[in-house]
Amino acid sequence: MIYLFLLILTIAILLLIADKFLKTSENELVTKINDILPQTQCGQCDYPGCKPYAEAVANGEAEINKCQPGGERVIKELAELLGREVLDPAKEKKTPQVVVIDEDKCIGCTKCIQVCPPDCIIGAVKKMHTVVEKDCTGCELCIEVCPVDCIDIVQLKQSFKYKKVKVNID
Amino acid sequence: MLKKLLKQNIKTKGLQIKPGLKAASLDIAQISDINSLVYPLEDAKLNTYIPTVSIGDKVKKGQVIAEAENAHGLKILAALDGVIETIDEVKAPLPQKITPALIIKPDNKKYWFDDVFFNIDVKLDEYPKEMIFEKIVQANIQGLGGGLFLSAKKILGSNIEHIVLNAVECEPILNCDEAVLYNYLAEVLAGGIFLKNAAKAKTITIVLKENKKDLINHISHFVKNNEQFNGINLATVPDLYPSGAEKEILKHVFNTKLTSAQHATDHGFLMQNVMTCVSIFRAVTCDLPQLERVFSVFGKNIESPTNLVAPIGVTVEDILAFLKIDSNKVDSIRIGGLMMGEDIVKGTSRKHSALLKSSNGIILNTYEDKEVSECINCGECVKACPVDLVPNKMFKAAQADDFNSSYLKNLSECMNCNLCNYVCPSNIDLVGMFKYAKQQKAMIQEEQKRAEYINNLTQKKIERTKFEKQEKERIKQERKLARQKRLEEKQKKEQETNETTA
Repeated sequence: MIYLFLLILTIAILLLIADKFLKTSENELVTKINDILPQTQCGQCDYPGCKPYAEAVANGEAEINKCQPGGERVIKELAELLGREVLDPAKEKKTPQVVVIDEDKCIGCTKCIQVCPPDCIIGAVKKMHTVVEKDCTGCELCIEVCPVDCIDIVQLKQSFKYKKVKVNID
Repeated sequence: MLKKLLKQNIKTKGLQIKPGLKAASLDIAQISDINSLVYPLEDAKLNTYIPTVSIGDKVKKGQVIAEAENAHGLKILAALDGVIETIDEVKAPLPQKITPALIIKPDNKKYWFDDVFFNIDVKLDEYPKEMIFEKIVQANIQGLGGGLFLSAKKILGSNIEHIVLNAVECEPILNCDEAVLYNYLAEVLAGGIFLKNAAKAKTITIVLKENKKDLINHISHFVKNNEQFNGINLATVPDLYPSGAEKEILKHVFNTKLTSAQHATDHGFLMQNVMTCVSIFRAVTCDLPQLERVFSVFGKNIESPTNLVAPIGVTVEDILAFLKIDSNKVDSIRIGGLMMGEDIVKGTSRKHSALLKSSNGIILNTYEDKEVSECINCGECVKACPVDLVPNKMFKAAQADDFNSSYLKNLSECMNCNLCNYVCPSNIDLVGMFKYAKQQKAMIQEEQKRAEYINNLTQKKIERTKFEKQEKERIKQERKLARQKRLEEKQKKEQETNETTA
């Protein structure tokens, strides 16, 4: 009887210790979610960036289907991580695109430079701005803030994609 | 005991495929009339090419007409003098899709092949290593076995010890390599010696199928009787498909197993198709670029299958016209081998369908429309797979888009040999699914890489804006302090002046 009691006591202590040291902290969950997100920082999920959205998801404030650039892959992985249900994407996934500044119209207000998440617009006050196409994620954040409406979206050429083979199942 | 077991394990797997078609004769005929040449601006590996000429330009034989956009060093050369007629859309057979293509109208319809033969008096070892390399680069020589790897890049591989000349030709019925060996044996071996000298290798081995007894005798006889070729070895592989694949040969003949990420050059082997060796010989001795190739034409109801030499880009129409085959009676055209080629089915446009650099055969009337049904888990594909994968499970994982599945972990080992498709009783296009899965997997990887890169940029921006804010704050404070100082000084001065006046 006493042995049994001791055994239960030790197990309880061990469990308490384990709970203290092995617990996934809130922070860890946020980084895990953040790692799944595509890091475009586009704000299309109505949060100011990927990390804030990750925090919201971790706290259970946001649905997992709001990341537009991530598409189905992100939803699936988030569902797996959090044990939630797989949802349909809230918005449709866009085809790859970049933005281009009409350099003749640009007045050099630097407003777009300030909002660009990956910092891919170069220019200075009252000097022409231009987009580094290689780094542009096509998040469209710069379009709204431009006072002279000189930023256009350009669709990128899509390379050939193999189709999924279908087997008719009756 | 263990060693014995291991050795048994390393045996080449594969199947003997006997489709019951007549093989081509071993003479090589030359195509005579050429109406147009077609060069698709995208290849089987999805490299895109950018033309360096425009419509209406006159081009010379051997002139560069397009360069690859991303893969450094790949080029397309015009095979004949002529005019760039148009850039038209073409149904490129590998993979099946529409691509733009440059179309050249040759100035002179009549075509002849400049044969160059090996001269016994020429000492092959006297050609300097640098010159051989330079000429291989200039001639734009790519592996004609189907891989289209640049030969020059292979030579640059470090510590090449063995040159392997691949004449296995495991695709059923095809015999263009055999024809090349009968007609240009000395040139093949000379090309091999050039490769050996350029890569500073020690041995040359020519690999053949073990059932081609006559050819083996012919080669061993020739090697014995010619002093310059004395050291060349002969090796054989069993008459199975796909025993001619690079990795299968290394496994069977040299007991070397490669992983999917490794190339033969990583293990000191430089493998080259025999036809490529002829190209190298022609390039080094006569400065001729690689513009032509030999290929087999055969098929159902074809009475006289032939091996042909023709410029790359020649249209199927011209080939059929030369062989006096009525184009209307040809139902399907397969470009490439029976196993790995792709069909242009009856009913689809054959306009501008042409011979690609990698096509070793033009096969007529072999397409059958098969009914596809569900997988019954019979396991035939697992038995057949030469690289020990589990195609049926892999197919299901890919179907569910589960690319993290352990079944798809070794997907890159799959070499698209099509054996699983061949044995599948339900006629499922497993390889088509694997091509899709490979691309998706690569895309996901790329996406992750880019996410990391963009994240890095974003973090930097956040740091930068923070720093800017701090700096601004600091400058503001400094100015404030300075202003206060100035004010105090002013007040002091005023006080002083007040005192003095008082």
